[in-house]
Amino acid sequence: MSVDNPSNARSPATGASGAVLPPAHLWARLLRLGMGWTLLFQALGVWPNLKYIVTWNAIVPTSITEMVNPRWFPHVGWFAPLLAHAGLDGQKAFVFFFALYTLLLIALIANFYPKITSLLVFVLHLVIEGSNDFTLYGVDRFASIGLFYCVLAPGRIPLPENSDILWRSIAVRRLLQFHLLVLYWNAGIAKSFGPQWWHGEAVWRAVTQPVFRGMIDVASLAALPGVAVAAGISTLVIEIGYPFFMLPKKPRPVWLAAVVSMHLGIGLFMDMWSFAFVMIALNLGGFGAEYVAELLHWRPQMAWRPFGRRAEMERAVNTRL
Amino acid sequence: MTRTLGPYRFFAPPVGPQLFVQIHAEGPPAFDEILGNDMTQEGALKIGATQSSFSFYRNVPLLLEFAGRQFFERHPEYKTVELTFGWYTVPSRSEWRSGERMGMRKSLKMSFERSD
Repeated sequence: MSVDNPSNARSPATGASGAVLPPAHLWARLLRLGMGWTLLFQALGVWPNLKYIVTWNAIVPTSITEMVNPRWFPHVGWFAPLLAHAGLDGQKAFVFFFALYTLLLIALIANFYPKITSLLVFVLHLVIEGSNDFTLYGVDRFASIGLFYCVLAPGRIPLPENSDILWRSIAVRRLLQFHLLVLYWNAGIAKSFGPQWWHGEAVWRAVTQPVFRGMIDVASLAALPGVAVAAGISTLVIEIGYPFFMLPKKPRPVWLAAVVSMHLGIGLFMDMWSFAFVMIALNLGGFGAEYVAELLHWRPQMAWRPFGRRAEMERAVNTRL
Repeated sequence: MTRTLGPYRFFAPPVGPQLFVQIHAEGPPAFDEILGNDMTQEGALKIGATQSSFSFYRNVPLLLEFAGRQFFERHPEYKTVELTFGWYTVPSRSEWRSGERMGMRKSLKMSFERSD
């Protein structure tokens, strides 16, 4: 069976024993791993303060958020009558949902029934969001986007006899890529209208805010004004240039490295690690699977459960699609 | 944090000042804290998002009322609490170099008494 697979065409090597796995088989797993680890990290950061952030004892109690939000949007209150029968009422119901969400993130990392787990995590994420609308910030919105693609992405390794799965895998990845192109370009253009980004004020303001308990020495940044200007302008260049340098294959690794570095910088200097890693996971899933595979030289011999069964991997690599 | 000043844009909100809710309760012992400071980084970011949502919708008194209710739940030993809403003022880089430092601009102060 012959399937024209553009994703495989740029894989480091195919058809030989011990070859590096082609990206068509890896991107979905990379995305699920990235989203799983990042959201688990975020959930563990919320757990110690769960009671006072996102429950009936939160600043804005979930019962009020649920009243304010549209009725059609899923929220914990929908399930309250059902859970009350099991003795889980009020705060306990929310804690139950959050605990279930955390456990399912571990299942997502372990690639345990990936399609069903992705769907459950996505739905639970929306339900929890629906009850805590006031506490949401950028990372939660991008997490919803990432989990949506985890649901769409095929759960199984595309084998020759499943060309429809292979095509779906490629189509969903293309959709994610297109989504990222629009997203970054739009962000870059919107930022470019703000003078803050041209004279470095946005970067200066961002890293000096008390909530961003970052690692930068503010005095050094003030002494070297060029650094903030360069950081601001390079953010604009990276974001506006994203569609033009990520689509062609040649400049892609350089641009991907720049994007990943930019997000690592956000994590390091603003202490917003969950946001940084959600964006890195989306980028690696969308554009980076081939480079990660090459970098780690992923081979069927290295396959472990999160990346699929070894036998399946060997068949996938050794069969020319 | 970002929804406070300027037009809100989903993909690129302007970097606005960080908001705060300062808590003060007479003791003994006296209680002085910034809302969210005793939380994890993720918790503090979520508290920041809550503050900016209320500021964006111009409903700060309601935010302070909610924060007061939560304070009494967390600290039943206090009978009154004074909450102040405001934002941090960040000097520009040149102002910083000339010795100016971050300040706190207060815009609304409300006191609450335990009702029970």
